[in-house]
Amino acid sequence: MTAIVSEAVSEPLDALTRAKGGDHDAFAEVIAEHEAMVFSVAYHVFNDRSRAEEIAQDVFLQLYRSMAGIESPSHLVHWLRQVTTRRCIDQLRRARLRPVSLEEAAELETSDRPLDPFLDRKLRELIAALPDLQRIVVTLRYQEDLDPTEICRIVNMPVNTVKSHLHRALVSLRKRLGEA
Amino acid sequence: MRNILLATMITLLAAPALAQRVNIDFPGLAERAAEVIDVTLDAQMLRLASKFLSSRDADERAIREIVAKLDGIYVRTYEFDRVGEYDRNIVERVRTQLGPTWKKVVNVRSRNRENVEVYFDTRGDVIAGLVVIAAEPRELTLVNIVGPIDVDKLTHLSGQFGIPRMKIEEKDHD
Amino acid sequence: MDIERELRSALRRKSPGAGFSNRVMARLIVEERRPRLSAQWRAIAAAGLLTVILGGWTAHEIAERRQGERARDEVLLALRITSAKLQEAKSHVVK
Repeated sequence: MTAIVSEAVSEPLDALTRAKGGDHDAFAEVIAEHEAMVFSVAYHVFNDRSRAEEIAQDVFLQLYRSMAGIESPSHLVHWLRQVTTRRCIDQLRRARLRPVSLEEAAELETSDRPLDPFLDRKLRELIAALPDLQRIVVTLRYQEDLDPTEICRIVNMPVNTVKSHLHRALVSLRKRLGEA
Repeated sequence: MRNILLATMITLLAAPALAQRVNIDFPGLAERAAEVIDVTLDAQMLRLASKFLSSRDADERAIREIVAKLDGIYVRTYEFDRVGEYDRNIVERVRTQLGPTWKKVVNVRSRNRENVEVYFDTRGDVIAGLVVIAAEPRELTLVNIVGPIDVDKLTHLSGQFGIPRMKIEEKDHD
Repeated sequence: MDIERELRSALRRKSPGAGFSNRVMARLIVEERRPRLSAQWRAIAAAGLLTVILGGWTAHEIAERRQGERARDEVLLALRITSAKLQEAKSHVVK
């Protein structure tokens, strides 16, 4: 008689699951995976590298304290986008900061070469000059490729308000690029 | 017909996602105030807090049920040393954020005491938010509760925990 | 010109620079007042996962408990303030 024994092969736990268990190395992996996204949202809102780094660090520290509530990798991404955006909104409200001009911001490394570096720079100047909420909505739309329904959940505004901000921002950018 | 019912259900279920957070932060207030109370609880903090509300205490159990569905609770209270130290236009700046879905349910006016306004954000059959503006000569309180509020549960909670039993009517009194 | 394509290019993600995760972990360790874990301690911490399963406390759970209790106190404070204002309004309403 032959006994067939099946042995369960355990898959290695992913970084998120291990981080939730208190594994510091795994949490560092989670940071590495998402740091560009978090940092870039803050950077494109403030155009200030040191402020963006400060916000990004705060977001990940808050993540560490909130890990128990993160249910899945997709939930984690949504959580990071939402918390980063809301921290930016809170700081904008409190200080009524204007973004630092591009001359003051240090050049940042990117993995891709821009299609047109001069146009890139011009566009970033124009984006920096947009009203706060338009700039935030444009950042989420074109940096993160989110549609208005996803954006409205992150910024906690009605979807029509988000669409309106996006529309006004594009009209303004087109007009100013045409003038440039 | 079925499509209409489905669309209505989706609208009602989606109502909490449309809940609007109102800006109750205004530059300069905290700096001029003698005392500030600042409570900011987003959905995540509310879920965390719920875990620590006692299930043995009837009040806290009821509060946990109310809080479980909320997206945020935001309270700002500012106390000033002297009359006239805050800009009364701030009240108008809160009001102007309230769109057509917001209904004023209480309006109390008093020359020398407190003016209180209570607004509900009504989305169909769901109350998706609450704003309270309480303006005294030397104290300003702004409250924004975001998310579906069960008025029945809130009414039932009234009378315990020092929360008054409320009948939702619009009254103006000088 | 395709402005949306240009916006995606201008707004593409950027790295915060080398060492970002190390800077976060350093702040984390300082805030948690925990010594930097050596390989030996990391192994012990991994074993500590069993303690969690068996119902013991970890520093993470203690921190979460403190945070949760603070959040609960804030909920109660917020509702106390809200109820006081509603009560003030109610006291003027004539039934």
